[in-house]
Amino acid sequence: MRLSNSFLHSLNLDGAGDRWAALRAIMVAGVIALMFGVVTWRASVVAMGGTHEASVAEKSVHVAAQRSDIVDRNGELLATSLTIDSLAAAPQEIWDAREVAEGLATVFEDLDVDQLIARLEDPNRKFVWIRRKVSPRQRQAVYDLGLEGLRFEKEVQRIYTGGALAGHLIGFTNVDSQGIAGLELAHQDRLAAGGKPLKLTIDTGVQFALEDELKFAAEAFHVKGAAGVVIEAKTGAVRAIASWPAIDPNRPGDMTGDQRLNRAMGAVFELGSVFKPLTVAAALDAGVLRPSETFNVAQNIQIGAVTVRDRHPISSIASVTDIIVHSSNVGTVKIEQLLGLRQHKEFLDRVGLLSRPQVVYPGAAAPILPVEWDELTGATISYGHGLAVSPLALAAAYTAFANDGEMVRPRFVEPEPEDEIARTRVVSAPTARLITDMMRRTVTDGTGTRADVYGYEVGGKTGTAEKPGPDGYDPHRNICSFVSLFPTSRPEYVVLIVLDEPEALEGEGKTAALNAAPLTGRLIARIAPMLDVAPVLEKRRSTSDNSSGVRAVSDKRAL
Amino acid sequence: MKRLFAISFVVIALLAVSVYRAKEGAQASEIKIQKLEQQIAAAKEELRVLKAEEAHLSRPERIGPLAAEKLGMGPVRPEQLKGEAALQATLAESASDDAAALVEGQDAAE
Repeated sequence: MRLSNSFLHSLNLDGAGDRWAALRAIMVAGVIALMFGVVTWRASVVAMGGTHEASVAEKSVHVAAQRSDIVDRNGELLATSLTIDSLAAAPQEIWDAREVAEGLATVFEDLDVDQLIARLEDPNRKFVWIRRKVSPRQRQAVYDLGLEGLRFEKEVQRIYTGGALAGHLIGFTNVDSQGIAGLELAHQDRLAAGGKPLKLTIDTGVQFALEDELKFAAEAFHVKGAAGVVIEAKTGAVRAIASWPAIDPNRPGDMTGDQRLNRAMGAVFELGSVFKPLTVAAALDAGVLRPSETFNVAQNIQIGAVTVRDRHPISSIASVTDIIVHSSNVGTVKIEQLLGLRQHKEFLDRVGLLSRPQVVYPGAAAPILPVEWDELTGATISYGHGLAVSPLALAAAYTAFANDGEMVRPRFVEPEPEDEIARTRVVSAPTARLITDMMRRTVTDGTGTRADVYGYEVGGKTGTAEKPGPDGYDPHRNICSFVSLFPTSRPEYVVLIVLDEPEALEGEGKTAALNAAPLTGRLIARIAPMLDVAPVLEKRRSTSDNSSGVRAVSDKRAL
Repeated sequence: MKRLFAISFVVIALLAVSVYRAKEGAQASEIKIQKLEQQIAAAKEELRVLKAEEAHLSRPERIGPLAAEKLGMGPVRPEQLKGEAALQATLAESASDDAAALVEGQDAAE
């Protein structure tokens, strides 16, 4: 007090003490009033406007929504991520777990009430998912219940805009947006990191045409399964790849085991006579066969216990081209015998048919190789029996013929401008051109006439193989395939169609010439304009009886 | 001295009020930025939904039958495609036909 008095005295306020005291009182009162005012105002703001902190849900949306889109080569959207609500509960905020569980059961009819009660009453749980990814209607219904301790968390839902389009290739994610199949899995790190869309080599229009034709084949020929591939020969870009039955990645839970099987990449087949051009190419390239050489193919060949015979025997002498055009097993085996087992095996290895295809895709199937390589296996493999490969692997091998002898690796993602396209020479350019010419002759004069398409110079080779069973090869169950290049004067694309156990149309057989070949023709007619392949308007050839099958099949679809 | 005290008090009070106002202003700006960011995020999300809807509605499975049914469209036939050279020839042929028709018309008038 003494200090205070001396302090006031030093300020010389004695004379105006009352006035100063009043002023001080006013100032103190003003400050206190101001403080109360601020506190009141802030309290009002907090009460009415909430806090400034972003909610947990908002934060989680920001992070999770970053998964990149997937688009086709033209930028058409194939897969994207959208935010959607999921229902969760904080058990510690719930007094009556039974009331909450029974209330929610009125919205989610399949909810297990007892299990939910147990989870909500578990003292160790601070967070419980009740239902992931609820619809807007369900969300509103839960709000209307007015139950305690519930909240909606924003989550990301992967949406596949094309439905089943390219379903096997794209794959799908799990509930936490982690890729678990197809390219979603193969490029998980790239997609999860966000950023620009993953641009596939797939062309949506071509992909749809391929899937549509496979679906048609399934109806027309009652196939067990089917697969198809369209590859750009120069770059290895896969413009379409499909497996039937298709899958819809939006509904992974609905898929059956058979649907999940990707017959284009994840399965292997003994594809039959589509191997013959490979055998001939190997022999020509090894210098053991001249293009002008002829063979007597009138007699069957006996190798051990196996008799090699032709389905449509050629009367006597056949040129190398005749052997391909008319698909002679006997002639091909004779050529393989000239080639020898070692060189044959080396060639198959060179074109990638003895190892797993080098593609960025999980589950690409490795070939099934013969247990023992001997004279018999060499002979049967020469015409496509005894070695099972995936359709993609075979189509990739044929890029060598379409590409002047250089094989390219199939790819599903568009290359960056700085990426180089790796090409591997597997046969000489003259050999590749000879094989291409033989394949064209097969379509104009041989087993592949139903694949011909005016203007696109289709070259191809049929393959009809009996499926192996427990008691040997089953003559009633076939794998029918057709491998083709177009246009043969400047090959741009390789197309392969494989049909698993097709049935015969009325009055016809069930060979590739009658099912896979016409299907390929229909497909090429649809996709060539989409792929900007300029037609070669040669003089239109008269339509033979053999090619009427294409029209007959087309008519059914009113195309 | 009394005046100095009063002025100091007022200055301090003003500074305190200024600091408070600045802090409030910053918080208000922060709120505004957050709201704008939320609006941007919402708009982006809406855009994603619209793009997804567009892609779903324009899928070939849906557009193909519609184009065939409503517009009579179908796959392009090779005869419908022509290169640049062929197009020039067609145009020249068309021009000569027009000229011939014009000459014929003049002859008939005479």
